[in-house]
Amino acid sequence: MRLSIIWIIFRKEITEALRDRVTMFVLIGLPLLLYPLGLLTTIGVTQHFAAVEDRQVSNVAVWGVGAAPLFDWLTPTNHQLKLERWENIPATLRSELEAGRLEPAVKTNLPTREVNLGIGLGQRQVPTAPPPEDSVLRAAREVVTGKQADAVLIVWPGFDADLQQHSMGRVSVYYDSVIPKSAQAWSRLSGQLEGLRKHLLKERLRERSLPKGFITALDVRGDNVAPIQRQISNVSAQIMPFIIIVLALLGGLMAAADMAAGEKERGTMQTLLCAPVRSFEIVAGKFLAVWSVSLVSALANIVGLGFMIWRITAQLQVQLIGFGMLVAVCGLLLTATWTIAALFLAVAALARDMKDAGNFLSGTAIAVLLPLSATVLPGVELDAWTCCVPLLNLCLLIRTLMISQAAGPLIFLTLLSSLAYAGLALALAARVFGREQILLGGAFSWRSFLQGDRQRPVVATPGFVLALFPVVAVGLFYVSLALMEQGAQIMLLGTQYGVLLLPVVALAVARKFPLAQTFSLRWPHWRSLVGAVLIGLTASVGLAGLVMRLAPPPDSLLRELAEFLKLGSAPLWQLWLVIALTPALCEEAFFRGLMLSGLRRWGPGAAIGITALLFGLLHGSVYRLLPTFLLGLVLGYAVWRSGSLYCSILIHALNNGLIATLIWSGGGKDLANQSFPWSLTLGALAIMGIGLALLTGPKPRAALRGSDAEGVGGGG
Amino acid sequence: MTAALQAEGLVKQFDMVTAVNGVNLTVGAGEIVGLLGANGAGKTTALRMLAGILTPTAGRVSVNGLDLHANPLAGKPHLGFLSGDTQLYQRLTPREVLRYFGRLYGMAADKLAGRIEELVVALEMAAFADRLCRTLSTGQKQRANIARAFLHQPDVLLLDEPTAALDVISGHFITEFIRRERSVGRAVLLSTHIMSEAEYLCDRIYLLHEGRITDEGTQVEILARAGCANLTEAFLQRARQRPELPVTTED
Repeated sequence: MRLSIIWIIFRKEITEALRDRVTMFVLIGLPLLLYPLGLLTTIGVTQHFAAVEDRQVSNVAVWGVGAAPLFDWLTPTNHQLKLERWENIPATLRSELEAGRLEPAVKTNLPTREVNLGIGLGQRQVPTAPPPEDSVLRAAREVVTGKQADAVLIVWPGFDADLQQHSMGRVSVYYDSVIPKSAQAWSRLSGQLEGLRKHLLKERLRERSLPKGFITALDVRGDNVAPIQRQISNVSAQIMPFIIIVLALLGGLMAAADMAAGEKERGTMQTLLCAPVRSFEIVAGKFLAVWSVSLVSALANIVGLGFMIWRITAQLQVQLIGFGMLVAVCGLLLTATWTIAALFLAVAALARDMKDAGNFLSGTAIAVLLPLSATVLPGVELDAWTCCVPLLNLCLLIRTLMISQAAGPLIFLTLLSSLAYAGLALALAARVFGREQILLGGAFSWRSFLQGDRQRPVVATPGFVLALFPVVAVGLFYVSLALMEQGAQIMLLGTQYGVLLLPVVALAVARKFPLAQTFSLRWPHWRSLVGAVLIGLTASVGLAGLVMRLAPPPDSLLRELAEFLKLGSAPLWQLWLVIALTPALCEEAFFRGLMLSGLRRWGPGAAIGITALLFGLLHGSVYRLLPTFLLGLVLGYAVWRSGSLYCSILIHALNNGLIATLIWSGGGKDLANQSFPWSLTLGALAIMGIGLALLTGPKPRAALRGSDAEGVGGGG
Repeated sequence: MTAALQAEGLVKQFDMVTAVNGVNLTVGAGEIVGLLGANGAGKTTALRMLAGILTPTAGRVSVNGLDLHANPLAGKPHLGFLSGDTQLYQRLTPREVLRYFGRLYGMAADKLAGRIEELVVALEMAAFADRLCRTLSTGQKQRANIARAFLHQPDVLLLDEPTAALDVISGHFITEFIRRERSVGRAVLLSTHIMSEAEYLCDRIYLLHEGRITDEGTQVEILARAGCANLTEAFLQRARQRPELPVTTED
């Protein structure tokens, strides 16, 4: 893989993308303009209509006799209400009301409200007349829907007498919720009438010298401890992550369609394939371009959206998203856009032309969005399971970060699994681009897509092992979760043999890789064995001494680790079997066996470095990353130098075994308080160095040359 | 002497369809060899395999003695491929397209700049070299494409119906350009179904029908064997010998 070629392809794709001004405007310019403009317009229009509404007077027809207190209360305090007695009332209805023959309905589903203005101290006689509400309702509806009045206020017979007798005066308001002006009239009236009710109550309590709480009896209050900022964040957190991922989808969709299907449609793909470039270099260059466009588009959307949120929250005088949060969200967006860009590129490459690509990508986008909608469901939280669901985990993580509830291990696992899925998506894209028939616009067939390469490589390729890593990582995660309740020993044995060793060896057999070469199964030189023993005996102390100084882990983690390594006070032989020999065999077979041989063609630096990094990442803790990475470097070098996996198995087993023995014997009871003086650290490192220098092999490079189909051998 | 381009037992199978079936051919330096066949005969598939775009199901392609598919990165710089339906990047100028491919071929910046200027003059592209490709006429695009194929000065040129869809003037210009390249020692394999073009350009000819070579030799040899007056008649005669076979693949 040549970075210079990838860079050339990336630059060309970006140049072309930038010259597609319409697409660029839609992806970047529009969000930057649309959100602020939309917001400002909405605010302006809303304010305008609010002002217009405020100036509007609600015309209320008051039907009923008396009600002087009502008029006294409503008229002078609110100039927005204009009361007209008997306005537009049918004559028969008026005479009924004046004669006191009407009663309010006991209950109705129609939009009418009865407002009780006092506390009924006596029981009123209900007349035996047929329900009167029909005639009142019909008349009121005619007036309101005919816009002769905005609302009708019925003062039921006996209102004045009821108030005088300290009974319950009754009024009803008829309005039409569909007519904004009528709904506004109801809003104004109800507020005013509630005020009158409270006023009357207060007066009655005062007249009878009753205490303030006589009516209330029990004062129940609920005080929300969440600050207003957190409350708003919580509401925003339900929808914001979803919006962010959707925005990431938009940019990637158009760019992927243009760069993959567009290139096929325009007939330029075969020209590119004539050039001396590898298909992975093409896919990497194009992927970086799609990713960049997708990312910039998403950022433009976030900036536009951010302006909108800032404008709203500034009015509320709260800060919804701090700078740190913004950086975190953008960081997560890197991973989200990565996965989406790779997935879209793979799907777009399957399409024959832009029209096909549009259909394929729309379907893919819907398929991606459907699970994401779970983000807004109640009870769906970031936990050990959801943190491994692609994209949903990022949505949930953003939401968790927004309400400041994120736990470190879950963040780490989410990022790890996201990287794994991003790697898988990229591997899928690489596979599609490796299919010549698909690239040249031939008919897509699942058979040709799924079948293995016609000419299989002699050994594992970098693409193969890098695609395998996320599968193994996710497999380890789920198997360990499933076996957690069976105890630490079963869990360790199950994951190590069940996920790392047996499937990996089976895969190598199925792919017909030469096992001795793939897993470096060669008897080492005696000097290498001595060197491995020296390294194995000193690596734990030397590396621990370094790590404790460079990046000391928290005490709680060390205690948890020590407790875990004791495996519930198991005997020493069991500790050696489970903690030392098993990982030495299984992890070495995968990392220094299959993975290192797969990455050999990239040279020793990249092969050992990447293997060590992935080895560190697989240990699932940000604090264990550094020590396991350093150990991975040593183990990788040992295999590279000696040409034998046995050396790294020996080092790994001795390293783990010594730590387990130390803890078992009580010497390491409290790892947190272990001291690693410089003299001890340097001494251990010096012996380790001697061990590394002793490593040699009879023909350490022979295997490398044979394993490299393109003749790009590594030294070491 | 090693042939500039050699194909041995070339086979390409797409699922159930065999597009090319056991093709053997050689092209020497300073020679224009024609690959003649009807639409669907397998010319494009064969040329794509010879250019390293498609991997053969069986057989071997060697360029200047190098196994192309075993060492694609070493073999491809010796090849220049041009197809009649090849397009250019619509939002780049011809000069930018040439610069892009020059970099992909690993040409040094100063050498690349000089070579681009040389081709712009030779192919009379100065008037449109800095205009976006989407604004160019078909003839102008094909000149830019030729420049792209000749840019890295390959020893072997694979031309797949390069004058298809061109007018008489553009077609003639390109035909003459190909003749000039032969005179400087390039090996040219020209796929075409225009018999007059083959008669005018080719030193030797392979007749391809339904994925197989049905005849080969100089024009004189082929005409003599067929007992015909021109290549069209000879081609039709060969095609009639296996009339029962349908066209195998879209070409």
